[in-house]
Amino acid sequence: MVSYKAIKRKKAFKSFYRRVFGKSISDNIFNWINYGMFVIFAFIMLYPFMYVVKISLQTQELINNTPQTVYNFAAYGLVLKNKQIVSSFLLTVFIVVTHTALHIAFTFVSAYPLSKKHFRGRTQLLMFVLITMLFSGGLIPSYILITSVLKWQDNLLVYIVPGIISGFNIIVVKNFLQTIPDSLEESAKLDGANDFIILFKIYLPLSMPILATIALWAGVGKWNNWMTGILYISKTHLLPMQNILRELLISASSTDASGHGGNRDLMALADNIKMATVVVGTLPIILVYPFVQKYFTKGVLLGSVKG
Amino acid sequence: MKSKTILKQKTSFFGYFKLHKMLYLMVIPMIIYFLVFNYYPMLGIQLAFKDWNPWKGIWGSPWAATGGKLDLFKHFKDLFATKLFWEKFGNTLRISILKTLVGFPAPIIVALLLNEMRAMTFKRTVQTISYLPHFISWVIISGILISMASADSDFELFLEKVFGRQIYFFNDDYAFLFIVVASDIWKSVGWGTIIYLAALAGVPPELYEAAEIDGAGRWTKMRFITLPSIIPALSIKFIFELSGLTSAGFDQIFNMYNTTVYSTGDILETYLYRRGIIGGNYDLSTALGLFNSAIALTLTVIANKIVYKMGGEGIW
Repeated sequence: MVSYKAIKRKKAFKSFYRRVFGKSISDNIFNWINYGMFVIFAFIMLYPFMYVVKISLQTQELINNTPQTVYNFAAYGLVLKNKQIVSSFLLTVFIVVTHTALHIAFTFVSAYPLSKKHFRGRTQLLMFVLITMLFSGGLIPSYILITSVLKWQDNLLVYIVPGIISGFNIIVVKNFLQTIPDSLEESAKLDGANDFIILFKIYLPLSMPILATIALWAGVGKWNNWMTGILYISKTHLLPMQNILRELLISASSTDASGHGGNRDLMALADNIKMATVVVGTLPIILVYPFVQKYFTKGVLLGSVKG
Repeated sequence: MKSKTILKQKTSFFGYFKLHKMLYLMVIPMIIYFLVFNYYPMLGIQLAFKDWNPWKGIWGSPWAATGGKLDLFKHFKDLFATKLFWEKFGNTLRISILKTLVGFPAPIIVALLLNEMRAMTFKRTVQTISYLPHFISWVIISGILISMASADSDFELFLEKVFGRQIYFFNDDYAFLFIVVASDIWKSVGWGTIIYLAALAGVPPELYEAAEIDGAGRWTKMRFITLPSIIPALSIKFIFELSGLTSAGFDQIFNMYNTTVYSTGDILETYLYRRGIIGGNYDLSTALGLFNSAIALTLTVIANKIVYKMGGEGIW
């Protein structure tokens, strides 16, 4: 005698099984292999991160006069006490926040006139923007501009200003603004609002999703930027997190070929402290990442749409 | 109605300008920025045809000359005459082609397999994990790899078990190529699937249902419905892949290479950096950069043509 409940449970299991694992046996085999491969795939993707966390938690300690590996947060304590690492972290936060805020403001304001079909000179200006996306002067002319024309070495402006406007992002925002119906603007015009008021009162609240996407691009790009520090900064206290990490991880391995001398104080640090610094330097991205992932992925698709 | 007449009115340019001076005010910062940071350096390309004089700057430097005679292409000739240049050029192409051979199909395969997955939570988790490396800088990735490849690390001990010896990826010419290609794919494969997964999500489910009624199996459906749906995304990727043939990934190589792997690992862009920024040969390096971008532009045009010929949509 099978109880009603057991039948129900069996049915539920079957439907669950069908939903998860497909229908036929060959389908099942395929699915099992597929799942297995993705488990391995996910492991490979995560392994370097797990490695970093593991090393960062390891500390050599003398227990009964024999050195033993124990797991604790000692390395993190040392990292947070290291003035250079902490100040470079704060500097990076400052750079990222300032640059990103200005980047959004400039991109949004410049994209708005270009989104207006009636704007005279629009075609020429779009061409002007497009050319900056297709051609560039290359490394050396830009380097000469910053070092001998603007003389921005060891100046925080070099982190903030270059890249503050991007042609690509202007086109993306422009395309988005064009999807907002004109009738909204017209009704505001009737009430006597000027272009600036219309932009901030009507278009800005509607553009939040696209601006979030662009803010993320700009922010992550700045957080991960190390080239500026290498090219234009010679004072250690003006270096952002990535450059400190570079000196810690790469220059310290004595295989570095960049031609820059390393910083001796940083080189002497032990492996667990290095990896703890990696965690500290990556944490902001990993923490915000799950919440903003959808904006990022949306952004990729925006980029693939022809402007 | 009044506003419509304002917007559509045929006014003189001056009248229009007065009416919309705010709009013109808005684009002024952008124009200044692009002029200074994009157009001015573009004019700096002339340095490729000049003899750099640090006291006179780009504009004041004299045109390139050998023995008092004008020789505009001097730096290009100098470059092409050196063995070192061709070695770097070969390295660039080798790394780039290896990356394309493995890195181009990889996200397609992953996307197709992910698309076959029915358990949504599992699928989303895998996706989230696979996007993660995209947000980590090459500084950190190569730092982790250097640490992982150091003697007697867990990773090296694992290799010793499998291959019978430890492999030092940063001291061996060919192992270095392997780690460059492998880490590049590790970083980009997940992110690369997004564009294909979006294309796959756009396929109407009725197509699959109709095919199933006609008795199509998994492979038939993949061959005749799934694959054709990703062709547009595939052709755009192909164009970018081909146009990037002469850039083998400066950010990555710069943080990973060292003098012991120069023979396979040193690429044109890192060579340009060392000759230009460190060595101070601004004119020669500008020529090298120009050579590189000229090739890239030509390849983009060719790739676009190929895609058009094959019936796809190009990027312009």
